[in-house]
Amino acid sequence: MRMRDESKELAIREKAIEMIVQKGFDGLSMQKLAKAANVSPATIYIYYKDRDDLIVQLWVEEMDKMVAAILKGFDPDMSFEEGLRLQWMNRARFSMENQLSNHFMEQIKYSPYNIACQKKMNKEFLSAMRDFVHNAIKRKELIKLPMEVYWSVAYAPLYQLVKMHMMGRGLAGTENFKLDQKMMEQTLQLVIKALKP
Amino acid sequence: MQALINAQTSVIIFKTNIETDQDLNKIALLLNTENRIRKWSVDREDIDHVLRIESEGVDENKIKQKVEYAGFLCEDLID
Repeated sequence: MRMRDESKELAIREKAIEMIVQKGFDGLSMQKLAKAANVSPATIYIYYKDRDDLIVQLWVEEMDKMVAAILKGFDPDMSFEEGLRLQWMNRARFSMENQLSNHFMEQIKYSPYNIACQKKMNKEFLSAMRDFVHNAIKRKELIKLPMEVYWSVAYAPLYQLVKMHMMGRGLAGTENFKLDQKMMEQTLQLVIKALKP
Repeated sequence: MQALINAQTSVIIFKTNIETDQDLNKIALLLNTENRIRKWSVDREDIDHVLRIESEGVDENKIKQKVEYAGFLCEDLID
C-alpha cells in the first residue's frame, strides 16, 4: 500500500498541460504522459481513471488557480469602477504570468470537453461576479444587459489587448506592442463610460 | 498495485484484456456485487486496458482471482 505523492501529482499535471498545449488533446495518452512525467502509468491511474477524466480534472484545478488569482482583494460590494479595475488588473496579470494554463483553458473552450468542464465551474467565482454586477445595477452604476453583451463589453477589450501584448504584435504587424498601465486605464475608462446608465 | 488516496479510500489498478461491451458487462456483474467497491472503471482506450477500482480496502488478490476466473487477464501494472 502506498500513499499519495504530491510532487508526482504536480509533475503529472504540468506535463499533461504542456503536452496538450504543444500537441493537442490527441497528442496526450496515459502512456506518453507517464514517460514525459517520469512516472509509471500505474501512478497516473491512481489519480485519474482515464484520459478524459484527467483532462476535466486538469481544467478544474487550473480554473481554481485562476479564480484565486482573480478574486484576490476583490469584494462584490466594491463600486463598479473600482471593482472592474481590480478585475482587469488581476485578470491581465494572471493571463500574462500563466501562459500555458491560459492556452490550455482556451483549447478546452473550443472542444467537446467544454460541456463537462462547465458543469464543474467554480461556484464561488460565479456568485462573486453575479453579486458584483447586481450590486452595480442596484446602485445605478451599470446598465442592465444580457450577460453575454455585458461580458463582451466589460472584459473582451482587455483580453484582446492582453493577447496582442503576449504576441508582442499590434495591428497590421506593428512590432513591439506593449500593454501598459496607461493604455489599460484609457481603455477601462471607455468601457465604464459605455456601461454607465 | 494498491494505493491510498485518502483515509477511507484505496485504489487498485490492474492491467487487463477487457475490451468489448460484452466483456464490460461480465466485469460489471462481478464488481457491482462487491459491497466495499465504491467506483470502478476500465480505460479501454489505453493499451493496458487498465481496470481501476476505488474501494474501502477490498482484498486485491480476491479481486484478481475473480476477474481471472471470469476468463480475463488481470495482472499487476508494474510500478
